[in-house]
Amino acid sequence: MVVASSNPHNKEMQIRRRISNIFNKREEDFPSLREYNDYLEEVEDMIFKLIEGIDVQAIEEKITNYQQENAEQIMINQARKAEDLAAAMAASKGIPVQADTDGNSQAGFVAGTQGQYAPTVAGGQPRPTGMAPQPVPLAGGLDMHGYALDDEEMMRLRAERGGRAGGWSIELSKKRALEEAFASIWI
Amino acid sequence: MADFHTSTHRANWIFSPQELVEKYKAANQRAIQTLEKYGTTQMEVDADGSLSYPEPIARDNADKHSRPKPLNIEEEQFMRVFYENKLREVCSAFYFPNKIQATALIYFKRFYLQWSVMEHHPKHIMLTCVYAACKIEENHVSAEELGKGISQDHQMILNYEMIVYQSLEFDLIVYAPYRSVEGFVNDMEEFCGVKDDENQMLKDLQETARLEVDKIMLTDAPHLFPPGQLALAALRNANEMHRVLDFEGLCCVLCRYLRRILARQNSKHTILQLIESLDAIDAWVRKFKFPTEKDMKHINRKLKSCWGHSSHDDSKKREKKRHKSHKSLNEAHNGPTLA
Repeated sequence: MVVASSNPHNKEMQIRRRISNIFNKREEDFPSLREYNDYLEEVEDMIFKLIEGIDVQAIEEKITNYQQENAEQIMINQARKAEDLAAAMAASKGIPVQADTDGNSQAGFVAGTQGQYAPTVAGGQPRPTGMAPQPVPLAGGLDMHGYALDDEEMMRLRAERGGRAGGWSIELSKKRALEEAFASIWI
Repeated sequence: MADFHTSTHRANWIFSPQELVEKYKAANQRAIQTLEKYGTTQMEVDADGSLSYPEPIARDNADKHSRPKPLNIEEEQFMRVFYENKLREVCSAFYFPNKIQATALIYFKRFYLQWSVMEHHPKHIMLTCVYAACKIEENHVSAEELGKGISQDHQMILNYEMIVYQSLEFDLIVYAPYRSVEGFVNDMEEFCGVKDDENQMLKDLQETARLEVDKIMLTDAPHLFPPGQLALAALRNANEMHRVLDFEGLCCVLCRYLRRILARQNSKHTILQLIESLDAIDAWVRKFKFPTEKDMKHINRKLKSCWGHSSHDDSKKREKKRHKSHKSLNEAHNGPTLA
């Protein structure tokens, strides 16, 4: 394990995660592409200001207002996201998506997000500790921005594939061990 | 890149037992002389990595009874062994991969071939070796992190770094037996025609062999034998515990395996030579003694007395110092610097 100094983008990542859980409208929610892009720009603006620390109070108010107004919509969107995750995960594993498992997982996910939802409503301040362990009950698939969310197995597969893509193979390692073993018997 | 044949490890760092003893004696003698002349053996290390020697004291002040007694060679060895063990603990506390611990251990051993334990405190050298090993084995850890992890001053690590490299004569690629063990076990898989259920046995064998290598690494054997032989010795011992190649009686099978290795290499060495070396390595492991608490207390006290004689002058001299990195001099027994 490489003991590295902490990722300089940690704070930004936390803020993004939090905001994207709240402001999670999709393209189909908007009548036109232009309005969707405007929405996205607003969200990015907010994120930037939060990171830089400009107008934090005002933005937090905006967030709380948005949450209260669109509470239902947010939940529906989160549920939709969960469904997509399940579908993508099943697809990547080659298992046909079952309708009832979908229902179960959806319920589970909503329950999960309820717990996650509560802290953001309760607190007005950014609370990184509350948000950081984001529950991802279903793994694989994509989130709003198209980044794949990984569980352990996916991460392992990824690591393996990454190594092979870089030209590394287990044969290399074995060969090196063999060479070193036999070359170093005599001086 | 991983070629042992052309490496400096093979060319410069494998000695015969007499050479080893001579080196230890020479370092010890030098330290004793420093003690006589200067009243302390501790070398001061500045921020730019240069060594400064302690100032000479007037001989008439020191009378026979208060003159500190230097460590002898066995005590130095105990010190080294104790700190090598500490080095292991530090590496496992940081969850470093095995190769880093092996490299750091070898650096530590080589450093104390050139210098005596009295001249540089093993505690600092140990951390610097870990730091250097991390750099070399492509697993860089900043000195601050190392310092924070063990609550030691990181500036001291950086000061000592250059000295450590110099003492290693910049021969930094070292070979540890761990990879060789792996190579031999892989080869044995083919040799034995191992079936699937025996795979687990081989894995166990590899694990035990690794533990054996750990034991071997703490002795002086890495200075005397190339890593391939160390690996074979470890495998032989592990084999005896596990009896993997036992179907025809252990000795025969192992002999056959060794003969096969030699045949593959077309080398002019005989199997007897190989077995001799393996036996010698075993002898070293059996000779190995780990110091007891009492021993360590005794040695530490002696060491402090070697350094501590000028300690009452230190507080006065330190106020006069304009040293920028005076943070690193947080130990009372540091000698005065030549500013």
